[in-house]
Amino acid sequence: MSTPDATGPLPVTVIGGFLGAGKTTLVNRLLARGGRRYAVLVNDFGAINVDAKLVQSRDGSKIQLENGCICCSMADGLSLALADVLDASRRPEAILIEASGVADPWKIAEVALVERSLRLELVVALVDAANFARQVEDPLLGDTLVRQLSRADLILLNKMDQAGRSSADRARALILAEAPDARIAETVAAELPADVLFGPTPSPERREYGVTASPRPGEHLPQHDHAENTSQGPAGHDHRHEDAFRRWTFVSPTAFSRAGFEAALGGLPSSLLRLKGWCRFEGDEAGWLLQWVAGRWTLDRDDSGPVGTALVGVGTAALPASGELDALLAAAAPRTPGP
Amino acid sequence: MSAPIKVYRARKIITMSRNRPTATHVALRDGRVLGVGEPEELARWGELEIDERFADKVLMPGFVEGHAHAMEGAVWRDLYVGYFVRRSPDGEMEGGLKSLDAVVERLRRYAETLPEDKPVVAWGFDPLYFDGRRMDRHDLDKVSTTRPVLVLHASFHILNVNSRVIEMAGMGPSTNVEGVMKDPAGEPNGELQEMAAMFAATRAAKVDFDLRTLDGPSLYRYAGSATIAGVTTATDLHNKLDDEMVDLFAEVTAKEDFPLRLVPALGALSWSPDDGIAQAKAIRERSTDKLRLGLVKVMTDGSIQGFTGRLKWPGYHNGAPNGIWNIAPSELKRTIGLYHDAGLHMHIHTNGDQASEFVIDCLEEALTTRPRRDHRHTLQHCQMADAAQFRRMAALGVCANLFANHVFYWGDQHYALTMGPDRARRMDATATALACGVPLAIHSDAPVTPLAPLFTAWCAVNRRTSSGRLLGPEERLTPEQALFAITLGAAYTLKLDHLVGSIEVGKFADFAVLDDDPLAVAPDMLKDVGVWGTVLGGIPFESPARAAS
Ligand SMILES: [Zn+2]
Ligand SMILES: [Zn+2]
Repeated sequence: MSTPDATGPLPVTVIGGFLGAGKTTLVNRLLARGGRRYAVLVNDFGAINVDAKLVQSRDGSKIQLENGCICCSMADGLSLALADVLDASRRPEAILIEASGVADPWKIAEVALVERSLRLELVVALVDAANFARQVEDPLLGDTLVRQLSRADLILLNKMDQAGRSSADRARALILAEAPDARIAETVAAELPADVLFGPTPSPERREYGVTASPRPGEHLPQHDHAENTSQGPAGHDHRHEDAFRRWTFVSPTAFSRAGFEAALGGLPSSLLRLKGWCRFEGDEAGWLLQWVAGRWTLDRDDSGPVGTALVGVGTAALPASGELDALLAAAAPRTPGP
Repeated sequence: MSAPIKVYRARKIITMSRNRPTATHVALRDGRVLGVGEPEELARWGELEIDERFADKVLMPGFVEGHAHAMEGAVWRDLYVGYFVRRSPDGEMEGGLKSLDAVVERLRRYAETLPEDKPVVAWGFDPLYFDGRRMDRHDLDKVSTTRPVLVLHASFHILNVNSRVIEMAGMGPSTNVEGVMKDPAGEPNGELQEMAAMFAATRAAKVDFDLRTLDGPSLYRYAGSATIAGVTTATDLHNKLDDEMVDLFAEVTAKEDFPLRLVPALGALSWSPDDGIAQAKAIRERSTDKLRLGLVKVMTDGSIQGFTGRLKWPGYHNGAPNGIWNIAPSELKRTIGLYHDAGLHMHIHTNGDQASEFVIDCLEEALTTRPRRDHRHTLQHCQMADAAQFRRMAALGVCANLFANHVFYWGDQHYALTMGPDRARRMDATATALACGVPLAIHSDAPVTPLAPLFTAWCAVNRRTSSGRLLGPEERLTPEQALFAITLGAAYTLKLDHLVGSIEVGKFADFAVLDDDPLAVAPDMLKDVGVWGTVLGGIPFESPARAAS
């Protein structure tokens, strides 16, 4: 993954979902994983699984870890906590916000869309697959639970090891009834592949064009993230979560029409979560880096890629076959005369 | 032989005490009431020194504001540009700006008084009364195009900024966030709603809108506002109350010229329950005569006018979705249970009737399984509670502090938008609460509305909206009931009724000094009764408004 430079906007990931859905498990995974100096904003330190040996210092509202991560309390409000992080002498590399069990994570995420020193990376909402259908029946709570899922980039039907098929399907149906375009993936213990969390890593070296080089759905990718998998022994670790995501690779030597390409981006299916890589445009010598997440995207000048277009995507199990996806982008390529 | 006994003679003393409801003389010793009565009776204590300065005034017990915030002292750091006139802590009349042009003109004059490099910051703006016309950045560009201009709405949830701020924050047509309002051409129009957009704008403009930051001067301003209104005891009803903050309160309130007894409440959601309970108990021990600690505030839902209060069926009249919880109901129940078990005294914010009902459920469970006599847990605002909820509150010994000022400030909006005519009639159902036997206080929630108990009493007695509509005449209080609610009623909810709230032997010599008898004026003149100032612990504090003129 690329490290943001010291002055660039900080990527923000927001994790939402009701109590018991697995938010803290996911936060702990990211903290334990290391590799990125996170500032983690939480409502309650209590559940954060900080290895005491890692703690460098702690006061009422902050815990500084030896690996450079820092945990901050949002008890005095998100604004104050965020301002503290942004004004700190040593800025983190990324911000992770664990929303409260009743907050709408999207409302929080919006700050990263509007504040210039922040960049929204991902909004993940977790659902307790076994109990969701019952929880939404609660008149005090149901609307809140639905609201916090409705605009998330990715919804994890979590705790699948504890949920029967029927309760998981019921939960999925309830979510889709409210948010038909929701990206839903089934997980156990909030275990997610690295490319889902941090974006796929297209290789600039790849130069064989012309063929769709998509891995088969379910194929293992090298960045598959095992580092944090401590809860189960190697024997007990199945790869169910891999089935929850599909990949797509698009490689083409042609330059696109920029307008056509941008239009094609708008037409990508909602099951696609991320798309990243380089592309070229007609009448433009420069290379461009595309970073597309859940419909939000940026194109930045970047000449470190190949001469053509090389994009890698990841989506939920509902991601259409690669050929179908290829066709969506190929439509944006100018018709080149056949050989 | 000790020094002579100080006696204030007044035109009338309304004691709020059954023993002697009215009198003309009150004797003091050591900052307390030594006796109320005729001079001959009082003279049996010793030689009297009769102070005639209030001979033409009416004394009441110093008013008790059971729900306000010390932030009232902090907001006045910036310019007030509200529709209604409001008195600053220095006694100046501010606001009363009846058109957008008047707001812009006031801002322009204010900007001239500030150093060139300072942003122009104002608060209290309320476009509700401008026939649907909203402020945009072009309005504020008339104030300045070169320096930031920021105008916070009365709700504290909306901010208007000028083009300079938009530019500094880098907002443009591609800023796609719900809270950044756009003009028909797709450009940000300068109206920013909610945390995300406001955070970006205030950060870019380097404006500290964190109005909760209290310091000595803001506490003095808060006390100034209190003195102007005849208030001698006031809450700061949500404060983290870490040691540093308690040190500040202790230092400031200890000063002899600080004219207010402060009752800060520890914000439970700022702590884990264990830490919060430990802190509340620890600081309770630091209480003094002028600083009462130990009270705990619990938040639940949002506000009715912001459509964030949690409502029961049939929900918001205009079809807005139900409001928000600040904390999951299950966690709320656990928190309330733990603070109750710890023997602490809770004031619980509930606006919508789903929130108040749920809190009543929580308290019922706590009180049934772990009974506690005389807990005086209080529902704050409690605006939508119906008669059935008040009956349950009475049965459980739960008090209510109702937001009577809402009837005036938002009553028309509740009628038309939030609640509809039927439920709007019984918002802040003061008479129902009393009829059900619920101990009652009424409040301003300053700085949300002005700190002025006589105005709050006027609202409860007259129930007139700002457009003049009579909203829920059945819920009107008598003047006597309303005056009780702003004195002994509020003191009771704070467990301070043995110290303040009436003029009786042994209680603090805290008085509101009034120009007229609020029980003799026409009920619709209650808010117009002049306030000379206060007496706190026997010491007179003239209102800054009087001292200025
Ligand atoms: Zn409140
Ligand atoms: Zn309040």
